[in-house]
Amino acid sequence: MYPLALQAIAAGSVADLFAAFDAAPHTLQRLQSWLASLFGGAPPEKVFTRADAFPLLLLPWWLESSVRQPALSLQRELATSSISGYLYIRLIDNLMDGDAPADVSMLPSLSLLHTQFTDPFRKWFGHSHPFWEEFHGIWFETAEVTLRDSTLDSIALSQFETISARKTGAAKIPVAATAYSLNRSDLLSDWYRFIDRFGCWHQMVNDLFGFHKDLRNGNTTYLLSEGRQAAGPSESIESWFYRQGFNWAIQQLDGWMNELRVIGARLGSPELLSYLDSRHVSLHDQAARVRSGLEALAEIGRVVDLREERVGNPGEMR
Amino acid sequence: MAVEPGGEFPIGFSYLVGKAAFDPEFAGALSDDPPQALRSIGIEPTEEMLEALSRIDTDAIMDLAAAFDDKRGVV
Repeated sequence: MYPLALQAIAAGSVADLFAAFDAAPHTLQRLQSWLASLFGGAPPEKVFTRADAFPLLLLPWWLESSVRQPALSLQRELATSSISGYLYIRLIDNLMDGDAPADVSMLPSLSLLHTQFTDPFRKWFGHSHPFWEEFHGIWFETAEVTLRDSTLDSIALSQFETISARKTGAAKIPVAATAYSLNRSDLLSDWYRFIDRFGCWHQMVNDLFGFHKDLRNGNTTYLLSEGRQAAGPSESIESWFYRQGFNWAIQQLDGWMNELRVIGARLGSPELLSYLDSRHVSLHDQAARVRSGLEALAEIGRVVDLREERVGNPGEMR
Repeated sequence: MAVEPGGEFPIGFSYLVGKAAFDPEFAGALSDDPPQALRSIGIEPTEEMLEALSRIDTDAIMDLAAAFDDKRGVV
């Protein structure tokens, strides 16, 4: 799914990022410790090129590939910027959510991450270049929707599409930088449409497979909001999820995937279309495994005739 | 039992799925040693239960737990 050249670029970009922290060894140490915990010890470059990762590094690669053979130096600087920008946003998210192991003592590292995020853009585009208007619009919208999403106590479809799913909208920035570098800003509107729609698909996948975690942590998601409405007073939200909600979410995902294929067909990137096919197949493979697991558990539940009042609440059993 | 809209679920099914998805050790025990896993939640399995449990694809339970693993570290 990730070309070998891009995998090598990802590894080089992580090395570039860490090298940029040479003057701040304590900050680097904290950052690396946080990353090790965040990614379960996996090398960051592997995490950013996982098949189920958001295609942050692939998007500018696909765009450049649709115009010309990708310039590896440009893509490497973009990847360093994108990884830095992602970590900047993720650290703020972790701090807002109170997720371990991030704590407020890591806040100073945001300065370095933001500098690394914007470094190539400042090098490539002069102060009055139209890229900056694009950058500000995207960057401010991402901050706005992240804040709004965190304050919602219920999420309807329209809010999901325009708020929750736009939290990944900062991925438009490296795409914009690529387009302006190639003097092809005319391409951006179609790519933005794709990224906005892919944001829906990606966020729903997160909500779907994070169902238990979100429920346990009291998070608000579109899936949980739909479940609360659909389950009604006589059914638990977990019961709705296993009975109907899981399949409902897969249907929503398939609808967005169909739209993504239509939008993607206009982008001139066969690799992008192949990526969509691969993600679709992978999701349905995973869904089939979940259904098999649900069936096995349902059979056990039927055999032993479990009584909820006898065994208690699963959330209390950890 | 098919998991389809409107399907019928046994009482406590949601508990069992939630427990398996929340607790990897329990999911592993259900896969490796279902009787012991049931005892750990206060269910003493009968001969009939054990016979029925032997026909269940317990590996699928581990796949389920892996799918909902909240420590996937995905970007």
